[in-house]
Amino acid sequence: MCGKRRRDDGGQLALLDAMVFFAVSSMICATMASHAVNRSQALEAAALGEPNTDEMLSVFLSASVGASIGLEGLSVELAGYESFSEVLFLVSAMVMDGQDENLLEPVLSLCSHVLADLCAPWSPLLVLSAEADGNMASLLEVGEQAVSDADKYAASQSLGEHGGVGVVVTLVLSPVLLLHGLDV
Amino acid sequence: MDAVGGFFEDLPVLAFVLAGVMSVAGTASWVSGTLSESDGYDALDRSASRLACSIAFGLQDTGGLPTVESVVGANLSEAMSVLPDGFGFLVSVWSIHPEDGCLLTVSDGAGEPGSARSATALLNVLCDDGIVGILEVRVLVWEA
Repeated sequence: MCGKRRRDDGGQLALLDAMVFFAVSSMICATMASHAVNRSQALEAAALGEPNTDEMLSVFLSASVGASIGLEGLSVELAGYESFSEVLFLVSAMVMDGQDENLLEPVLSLCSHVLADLCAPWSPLLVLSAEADGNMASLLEVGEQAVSDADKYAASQSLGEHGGVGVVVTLVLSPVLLLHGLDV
Repeated sequence: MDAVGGFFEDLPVLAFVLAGVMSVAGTASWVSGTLSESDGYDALDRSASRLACSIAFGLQDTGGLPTVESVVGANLSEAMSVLPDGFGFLVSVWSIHPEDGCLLTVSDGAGEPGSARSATALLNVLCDDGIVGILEVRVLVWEA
């Protein structure tokens, strides 16, 4: 009688040990799988890669406009040899002097087109700002404002000063949402 | 009879132990394969980025802006030397402003692309008419 009870107790203890062993091994499995999945997700995120916004902005600003553009109503004509940095500074100065933004549309449209080619597959937004006493005020935006909460990448560069006010250009890149065009 | 009864009483214990051992072994095997694959992609990423930068620097090594003619006739064999043995590559240099088009393509078709990685680099170029354009170096690297 006593021997039988001792044997039952031993069996229950062995079963309990085995269940604990199984629980611990399950936790180890979950930890290893979690580590592997995190690594795979990081790799997938890196597949698109972080854009080199500094390089993109620098190359864009150094490039020539490449086409002659006449701005009707402003008696300004671009020969095509001007760099984008010079043209964007001119545009910013005109806006600060109170010129109508609609008259600058041909230049802004060309900037948008070149930036779209340069920054693909990212969605570019170029922001021209006036900086005075450490305060930044947006003058113009070229491109589409991203609506998603996805991570964005940005780079800024100073274009010079107009009337004591600094002009800063900022390139903001956000990932293009493929489903956006399907209204999903 | 006691021995037979004891065997059947120990079966649940044996089942739990076997299940634990097998799940750990299976997960370890899967994780090992996944991490090995990740390391392979990391190496491809580094090689692709290094090759793209090397080609961009090689095209600009004259100091000033490269011309479209010099890019079209460029010899990229020195820049390719940064790529370790056992890798295949496809390099193309595209003009994206003021005109779109492919200027140069170099390929080492060793093997077929299985797992591959890409990288790009940008640079300015002096066009024939004095306009400063934009070039993009596109690199695809794979294990041969």
